[in-house]
Amino acid sequence: MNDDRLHIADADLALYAMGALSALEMDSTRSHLQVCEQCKEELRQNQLALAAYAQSTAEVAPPDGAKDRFMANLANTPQLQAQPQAQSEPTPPASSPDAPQEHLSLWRTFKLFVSANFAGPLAGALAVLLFAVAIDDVKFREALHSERIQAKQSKTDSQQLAQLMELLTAAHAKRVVLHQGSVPSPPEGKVVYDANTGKLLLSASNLQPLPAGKTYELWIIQPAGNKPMPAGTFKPDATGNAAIILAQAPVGLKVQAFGVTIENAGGSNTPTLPIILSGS
Amino acid sequence: MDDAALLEAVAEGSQDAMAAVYDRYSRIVYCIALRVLREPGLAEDVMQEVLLQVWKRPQSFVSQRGNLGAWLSVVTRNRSIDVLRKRSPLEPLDDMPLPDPRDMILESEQNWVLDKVRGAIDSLPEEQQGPLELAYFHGLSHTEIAEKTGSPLGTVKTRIRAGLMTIRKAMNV
Repeated sequence: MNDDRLHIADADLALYAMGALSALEMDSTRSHLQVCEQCKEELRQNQLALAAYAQSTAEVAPPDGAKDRFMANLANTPQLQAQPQAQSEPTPPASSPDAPQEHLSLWRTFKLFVSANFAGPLAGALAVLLFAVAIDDVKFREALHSERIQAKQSKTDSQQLAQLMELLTAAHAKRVVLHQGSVPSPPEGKVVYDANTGKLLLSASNLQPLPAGKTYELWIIQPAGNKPMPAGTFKPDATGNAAIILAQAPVGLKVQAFGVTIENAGGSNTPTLPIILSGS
Repeated sequence: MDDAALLEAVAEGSQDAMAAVYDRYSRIVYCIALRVLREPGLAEDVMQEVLLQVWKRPQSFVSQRGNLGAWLSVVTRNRSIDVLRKRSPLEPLDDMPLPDPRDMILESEQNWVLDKVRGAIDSLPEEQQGPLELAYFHGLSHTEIAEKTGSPLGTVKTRIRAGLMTIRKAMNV
């Protein structure tokens, strides 16, 4: 990262600190900051200036009764222990990409505390106690950091799923079924279902065109005693191809088989025979 | 009592200490929220939310030893922008990075530095003040500012950066 051409432009770092870049630019800047100390330092200085800019606002007294309302809220709001709770809580401080540096910073504080201010065993014990408090905070933030990574992963998964869906359902996309020789293949379909995440994908080809008012419907066949579960309707394109993706199919289903039937438009709650495609 | 001692007391569950935090910071938090939202009711909602966060999670602040007021200011601005743009509170703060509280101006230096910053902001030419205000307190993106002001995107970026640099120089950072 010694080559200037590889750094984020100063103006963009200023906008990044304000959240004023596009989502794509925010993502790429965030990625770069994880590996570039020079840009991280420039960002830090921008953040300090913006904090002062915010504080420079002329003060105004809150409305009458605001403190009473606050204290009433306070009385009804339990304090949380240093454990991450629901993600609906606002982000705690120092959520910046600097999290890995927390250990160093706190350790440095601890060492300074011991060497510069205290010498006796009691003071040492106090210093250890304070360090333990600091470590609790680090653990707390690490847990939150981990939650954020998971949330971002989930977001990335959703984006990838959306992109896949876009590709599979794009009217202009070229769809080709490969087979041996020149004999047309019979209708076939492939289903991928992840019971842990509830994601389901169906890709079918060589489907016969449907009469008006009819649709294909996918069914999840569960073990005996459970009704077949409808998993979405679909129509093939002019070349007989079709695809559906369910990002929020039921999770944890024990699947015995999948089947496809032809139903009236809008779908059905029970499958109508015959089953056009099936597989287990 | 300084911020650190107040927060220690808050962490022990003292409502009196939290009332003192309110007395100390409610004005700055409220006025930032009001500057962004321009509606007293919404501004008070944000103020209550931000300050209640200190009550709910004082442990998050106790070991920071930073400037609570400066940190609250940034959080308030970011939360207010969320409300202004009706963004989900689940994601946005991470998109708008927060400074580390330990970096911020010390309480003892604060008034002196803020006076310099206010002077620097007043001295900014309008073509720099405007875009900086729109980006920071109105939550507009650079593209939106370019559209609103009729200025080229590059010019908007340059002016925001120049305004920020003036503030940085005033802070001597």
